[in-house]
Amino acid sequence: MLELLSDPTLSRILLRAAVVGALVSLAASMLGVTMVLRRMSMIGDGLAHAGFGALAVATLLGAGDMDTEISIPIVMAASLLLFYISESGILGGDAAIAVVSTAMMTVGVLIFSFTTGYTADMCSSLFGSASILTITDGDLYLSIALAAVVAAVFIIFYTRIFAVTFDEKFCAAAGVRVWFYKMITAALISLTVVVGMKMIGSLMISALIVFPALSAMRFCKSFRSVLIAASTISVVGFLLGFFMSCELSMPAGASVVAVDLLIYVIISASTAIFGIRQKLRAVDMHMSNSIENSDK
Amino acid sequence: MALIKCENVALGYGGRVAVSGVDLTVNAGDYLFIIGENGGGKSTLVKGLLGLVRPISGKIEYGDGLTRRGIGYLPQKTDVQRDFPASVHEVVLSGCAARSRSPFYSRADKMRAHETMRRLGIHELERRSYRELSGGQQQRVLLARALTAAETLLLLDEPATGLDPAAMTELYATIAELNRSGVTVIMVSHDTNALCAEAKTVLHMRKTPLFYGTLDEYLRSDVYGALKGGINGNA
Repeated sequence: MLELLSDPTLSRILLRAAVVGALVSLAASMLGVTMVLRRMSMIGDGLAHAGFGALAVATLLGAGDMDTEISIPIVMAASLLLFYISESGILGGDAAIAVVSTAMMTVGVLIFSFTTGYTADMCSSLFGSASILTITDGDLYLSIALAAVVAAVFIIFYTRIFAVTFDEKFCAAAGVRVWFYKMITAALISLTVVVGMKMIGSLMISALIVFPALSAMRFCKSFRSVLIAASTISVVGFLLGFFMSCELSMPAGASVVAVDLLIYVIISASTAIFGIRQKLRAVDMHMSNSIENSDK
Repeated sequence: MALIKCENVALGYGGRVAVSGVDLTVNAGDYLFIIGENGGGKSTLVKGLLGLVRPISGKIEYGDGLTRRGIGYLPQKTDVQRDFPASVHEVVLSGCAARSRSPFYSRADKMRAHETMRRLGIHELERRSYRELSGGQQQRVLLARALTAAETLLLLDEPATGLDPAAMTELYATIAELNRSGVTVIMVSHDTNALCAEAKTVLHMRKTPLFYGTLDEYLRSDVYGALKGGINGNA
């Protein structure tokens, strides 16, 4: 790792990939909190699969380095379609996700098999890039824009995002444009998925959306603290996983998800132990109180 | 002028009529109890009153300074809320979310939320997490949110669902107390036990109104007798 950093070109590449990943993790975790709370975790997963198909279309069009820019509108369209289908109740929510995501996966696999064949391209869109060299300056600018937009949306619309996530019916009656906030989330989630897919892989990108939120929900008591904790956990988890992958020559995507999983397990175990101790203490207090009372 | 006036209102979805022939007047200070079996069109009527479903025919008018946005709504509990990590303070304050265009809560919003929490006796729970509260406390928090959103008229949809009898009695007492202090209340329920909730008027729905009048008249009516006797109670 230190040798890597001593080479200016390599260290620039490394730094660029780290910044892209950290910003995508930040965006994914904030959006993830609202997705997990609204029982829509699977939508993130469905969108990631749609992203795979979109990337295949981009490859077919010979986009080269512009593949991300081409897949964005396709994934956005897929995400709006998914939201529309699950909202309108044409199909059950989970069935809608299964239909759209497998359809897009199939399109992707067929396109790859007719064009480049099962190559590194396809493998890296599924499991994440084996090499950080594929992260371009374009990805860097996109991820900066993404993180800035997500942060701005959460700051400007914070009160309404909370209200809509907590209770859609109440908000609809009070005149909040619920669909507007849903569409914003859908669009941003699809952006996050596309930008993050290259590094993490479309099969695992939804872990970035779901795990930090779940970890934070284990111990946080307010919505604000969940948001702050989830974004911190997500960025720290990414950096740990990323540098571990460089050091041990492991794929970045799997390493980051492994760290996120580990954090979740550790937090769940410690909150469980803490919870049991609190209960025992409460029983103790109760017992000693009743003994005191019986003494009187 | 009444707060809400319905004239021969019919409501439905996609051309199918779910509710028809509703004539209704809600004046300031009223406590209207809308009762009916499940599938009797109560929820549709609620959506109509909130302006979420447009009448197929007839009209719903709001008066006396009330707009349809100015109704404090307490919806039925959702699955999402069961383990939602939010402080009581955040939930009550979110009643203000639709009141202004500003991205942040104003000092006045916060004062309002505090005042409401004190009024409903939940200010000591302010920093607690919503998911750790008992069912009765949770309903009180949602009631506070509705009251923060609008203080003239509350529309409560099955507020006592899932509560134990003690918590239920306590909640109904709080609602009656609010009504005595000048808040107009519309409560929707399928539960006849809720009739002891000090309602002033009753509307019994089964697609169309079967009964509309004062509570005393209702308790002596055939509709109530039939419901209690169970003769055609499950139609």
